[in-house]
Amino acid sequence: MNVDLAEDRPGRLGRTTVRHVASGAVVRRVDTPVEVALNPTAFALWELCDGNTEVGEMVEAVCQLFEVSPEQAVVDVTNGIRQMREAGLIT
Amino acid sequence: MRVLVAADRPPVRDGVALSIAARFPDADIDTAANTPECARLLEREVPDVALIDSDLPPAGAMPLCTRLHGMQVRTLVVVVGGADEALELLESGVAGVISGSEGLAGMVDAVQTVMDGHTHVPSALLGGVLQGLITRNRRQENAHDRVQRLSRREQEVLALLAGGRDPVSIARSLAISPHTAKTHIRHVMSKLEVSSRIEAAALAADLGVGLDPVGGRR
Repeated sequence: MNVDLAEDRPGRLGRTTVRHVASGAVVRRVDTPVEVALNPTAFALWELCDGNTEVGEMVEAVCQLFEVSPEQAVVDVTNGIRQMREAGLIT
Repeated sequence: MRVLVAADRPPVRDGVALSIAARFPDADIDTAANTPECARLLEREVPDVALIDSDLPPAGAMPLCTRLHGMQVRTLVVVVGGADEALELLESGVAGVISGSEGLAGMVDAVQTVMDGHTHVPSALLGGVLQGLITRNRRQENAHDRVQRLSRREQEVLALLAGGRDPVSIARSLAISPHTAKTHIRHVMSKLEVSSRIEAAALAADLGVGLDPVGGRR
């Protein structure tokens, strides 16, 4: 993971509502038509996007909790961050 | 597959056991109503999965968890607290935590998840658990940075503090006067930003300072 991405500190955008469903959660921005279904891990990452937590820290925590390789954790977290960014949920 | 279900309330214990039996018809299921009974069954039957209520009387689930981890039993604990309790249990070696809100179906799904070799954390607690890990990692990194500020002699003093040594004993080990040892200790406490020798020793223990290569004390 390159340094820029590792030190990236995404933050949640706008006011949102959350609806928990069996497969995770649906996050909706109240100021736009954006509504995104997130699986449990992606929703947890969204909760961590407070503007202070680095992506590298998220990767390390996922690695520790799920006992996956650092390479797999990087893929899982960066994919989740990219999807949420593209959906307009985070900076 | 052998499963142990441990909960003190019969409706809960029997309900969970029945749900597991329905999903896993070939499973052998044992039940326990308290920690001594649970411990006895663990020794005798060595289950593949243990599903334990965190409030199992009289001692709760935590004392069993480390033992279960050593026996390589995939352990699930039903938590009543929040992410802090979940993180403590996960760090003790359990394979997963379940919240009561997951219901019987969720508990059975969790059994399958850990049998497949994965960790189970309820969606509602996952963010909090990850945040707890991040906070702990930051604390350890901060502690490591503080230890790096110490001089070589101060690090030697810290290692001895971590071993529970008092100033006189430290002075003797380092062939210095007790007055000099106390000065070093004051500097160590100041640089580590702690207010007692015990805090300094605890910080050092967290970082493994003062341990020999096989984990024992110097």
